[in-house]
Amino acid sequence: MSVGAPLAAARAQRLLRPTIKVAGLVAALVLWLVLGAVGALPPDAFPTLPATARAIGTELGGVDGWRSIGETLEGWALGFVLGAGCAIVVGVLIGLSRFAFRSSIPVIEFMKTIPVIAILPIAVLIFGGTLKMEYTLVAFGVFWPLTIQVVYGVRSIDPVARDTASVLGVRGLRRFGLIVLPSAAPFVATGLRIAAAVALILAVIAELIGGAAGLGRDILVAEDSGQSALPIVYALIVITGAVGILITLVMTQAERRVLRWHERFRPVERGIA
Amino acid sequence: MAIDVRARLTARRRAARRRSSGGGALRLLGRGLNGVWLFALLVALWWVLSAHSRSPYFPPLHTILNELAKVWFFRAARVDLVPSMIHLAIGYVAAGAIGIALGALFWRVRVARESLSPLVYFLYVLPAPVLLPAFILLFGIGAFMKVAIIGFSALWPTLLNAIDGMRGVDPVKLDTARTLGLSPRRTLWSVVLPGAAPQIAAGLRNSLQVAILLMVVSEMVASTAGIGYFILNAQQTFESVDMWTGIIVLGVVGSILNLMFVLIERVALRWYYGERALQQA
Amino acid sequence: MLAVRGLGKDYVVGRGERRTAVQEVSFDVGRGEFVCVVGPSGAGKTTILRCLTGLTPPSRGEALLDGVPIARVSDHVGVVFQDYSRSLFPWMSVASNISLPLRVRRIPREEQRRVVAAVLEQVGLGAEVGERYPWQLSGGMQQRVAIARALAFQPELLFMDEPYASVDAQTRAELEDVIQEIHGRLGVTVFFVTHDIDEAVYLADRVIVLSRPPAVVREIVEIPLARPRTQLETKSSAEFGELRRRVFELVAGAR
Repeated sequence: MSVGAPLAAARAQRLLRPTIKVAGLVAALVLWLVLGAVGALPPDAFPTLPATARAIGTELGGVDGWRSIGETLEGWALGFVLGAGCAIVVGVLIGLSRFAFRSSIPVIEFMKTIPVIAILPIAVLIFGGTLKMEYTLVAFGVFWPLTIQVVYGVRSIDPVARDTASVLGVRGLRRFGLIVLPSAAPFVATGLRIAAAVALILAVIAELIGGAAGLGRDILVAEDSGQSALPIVYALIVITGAVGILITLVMTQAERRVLRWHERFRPVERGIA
Repeated sequence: MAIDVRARLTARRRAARRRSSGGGALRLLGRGLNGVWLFALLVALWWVLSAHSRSPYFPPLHTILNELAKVWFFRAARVDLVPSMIHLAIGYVAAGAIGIALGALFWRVRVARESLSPLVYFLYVLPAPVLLPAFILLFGIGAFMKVAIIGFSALWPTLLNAIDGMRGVDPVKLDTARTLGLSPRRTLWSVVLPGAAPQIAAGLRNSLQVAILLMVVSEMVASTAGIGYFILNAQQTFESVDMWTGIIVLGVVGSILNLMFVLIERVALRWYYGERALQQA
Repeated sequence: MLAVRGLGKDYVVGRGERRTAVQEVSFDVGRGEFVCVVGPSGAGKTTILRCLTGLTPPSRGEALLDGVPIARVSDHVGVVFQDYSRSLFPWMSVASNISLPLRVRRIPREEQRRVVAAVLEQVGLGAEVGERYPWQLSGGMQQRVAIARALAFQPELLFMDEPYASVDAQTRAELEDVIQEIHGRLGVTVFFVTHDIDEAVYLADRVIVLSRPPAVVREIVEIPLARPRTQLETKSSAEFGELRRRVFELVAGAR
C-alpha cells in the first residue's frame, strides 16, 4: 500500500474546509445575483446584488458613511469602557466579601434580567437623541451581566489553591495578584467578549429608536426615504454586520491572548453562548 | 522552623465545615433574608427619595404603583401585554425548535455546515435590530412581521450553540454508542442531543434575551399596540407616570420569563447539575 | 474465534508526519479463552483493540471474527472502555444505561427488566443500583455497571481496554475477580488489554506480549495456572512468580 496515501488525504482535508466555506459564500452571492437578474426579488423590499454593492461603495466612498461608522463606534466604545470599568471595580469589591456577595447577587441578577431596552425611553427623556443617551444606555446594559461575571470569576478560586495560599501566609495584594486575578481572568475575558456584542446591539438600538447619530439612524432614514434608497438600507446592514464581525474578531483575539497566558486555565465554560 | 502545612490545612477545613453546617432552619432564614434585604432597602429608598419629587423624569414611586394597578390590571394587560407575549412565544418556540433541528442537520451533513457557516456567522454577529427596517419593507408592520423578526433573530444563538454542543460531545460516548449497536439516528436522539443539552440550553437562554429584545424593539418602531409601543408612546407624549408603569411591567415580565427558564432548565438538566455538584465536592 | 493476520496501523500526525503505531501483529484467540495483551506504554495495545472491535479500520492486514472480516462493530461483541465516567451516559439511570443495547435490539420491556437485574447481580451489584445515576456511584461501581452494560446483550466476545487502570488497587483486585467469575460462569471470550503485568498473568490463559512501537508480537506466554484463581493463594504461588517474571523480562527487554 502506498506510503503517500494517508499523507495526501490529510493535506486535502485541511484545504477542503476553507474551500467549502468560500464556495458556500460565493454560491449565496451568485444566488442573490441571479434572483435579482430574473426579477424574482420584490422591487420595493429587496434590492439586487449590484445595486447593494454600489450602495456600499457610495457609503464607504464618501465622508458620511465613515462618519456614521465613527459615531456608532464612539457610542459603543464610550459605553463599553464606562460599563466595563464600573463592572470590574464593583465586581471585584463584591466578590471579595462574602457578605456583599450574598446581599447583592439577587439584586444584580434581577437587574440583569430586565430588558435594557426598557430604560431607553427614560434615557431619551432625559438626554434626548444624543451621544450621551447612547453611551449611557450601552453602559447600563454592559454593567449588570459583566459584574456578575467578574464576581463569579473572583470567587472561582480553586479551594485547594486558596487554602494553600492562606496556610503559606500569602495575603493581601500579593494574594490578589497571584491567586485571585488569574482565576478571574477567564471569566472576565468571556464576559468582556459578550459585553462587546451587547454594547453594539444597544448602540444600534439607541440610534434606531432613540435617534442618536450613527448607523442605526441612517438605516431608519433610508427606510423612510422610499424605494430609491432601498439598496442603502441593505448596504448599511452589511456595513453594520462588518463592524460587528470586526469587534468580535478583536475581542476573540484578545481573549485568546489572555487565556493563553494563563495556560488555558478554563473553568466550566460553555463555548459560544 | 517548618510549617506543618498539612496540619494547618486540615484545621482550616474542619473550621470551614463547622461554619457551614448546623443551625438548620434558622440558617436558611438568615440566608433568605441576606438575599432580600438589599433589594427591599433599594425599593424603600426609591419610595422615600421620590415621594415628593416634582421632576418630570422621576415621579413619586407611590404614584407610579397606583397608576400601575389602575392601568395594567387588566385593560392594558389585555390590549398590550398579551399580544406581545403571544408574538414572543410563537417566535421563540419556533426559533428554538428550528434551531435545534437545523443544528442536528448541520451536525450530520458536513457540507451544509461548512458551506453555510460564513452566512450563519454573519447573521449571528449582526445586531438584530438592524434588520428591522428591512423586515418592515418585506412584511409590513403586522403581527407576522413581529413574529418573523423575533423568530429570525432568536434562531442564530440556538443554532450555533446546538452545532457547537453536538460537535463537542465526548468521543468516548460516541464510540460506546457504536459498540452498543446504536444506529446513527438512535445515537443522535439518545447520545448526541442529551450530551449537547447543556450547551443547547445556554443557546436557548441567549435566544430568549434576543427574542424579548426584538419583541420590544419591533413594537417601538412599527406598531400601535404592545408593551414596547406603550412605553415609547408614553415617553413621546410626556406621560411620565405611564412610561414608568410600562417599564416596571416590562422589567417584571422579563425577570419572570428568565426565572421560568432557569427553573425549567434546572429540572430538565437535573443530571447535569447533579454530576457537576458531585465533581466540585 | 478471532484470527488476526499481519494487522498494522499507521497514523498521520500533525503536519503530515506518518507514525506507525502497529507494524504487524498476528495471533489467534480461541472461543472461551481469556487473552491478555501487555506491552510497554505506547505500544499500540489500544490501537489493536480499536481495530479488532471495528471502531477503527486497520492500515494493512486482516482480522476475522468467526471467519468474517471485521468491517464494523459486530452485534455479538461487547466493549468496556477505560474511562467509565465518560463512557456511561449521565443522563440515563444505571438501569437505562444497561438496557439501552436491549432497547436497540427491540427486546420487550419485561425481558429487559429481568436481564438488567440478572446482569447487575453478575457484576456483584444489587438491583436497587438500577435506580441511581452513574455519577452517584463510586469508581468501582461505575466500572461494574459498564461491564454489566457490555454483557447485557450476551456478547460472545468481550473487549476490555485497560478497564481497571483508573481505580485504586483494592477495587482493582475486586474487579479482577468479578471478570474472572463472569468468564468462568458465562464462558464468554475475553480480550483484555492492560499495562499491569500482575493483572495479565492473574487473569489470562495466554498473554500476548508486544514489542515497542512499531509493535509486533514479541511472544505469547501460556499461563497454565489452575482455575479458579485467588488473589491471595494464586498470586503468592511460585508458579505465578515464575510466569510473572517471564512476562516482565519480555516487556522490560522490549523497552
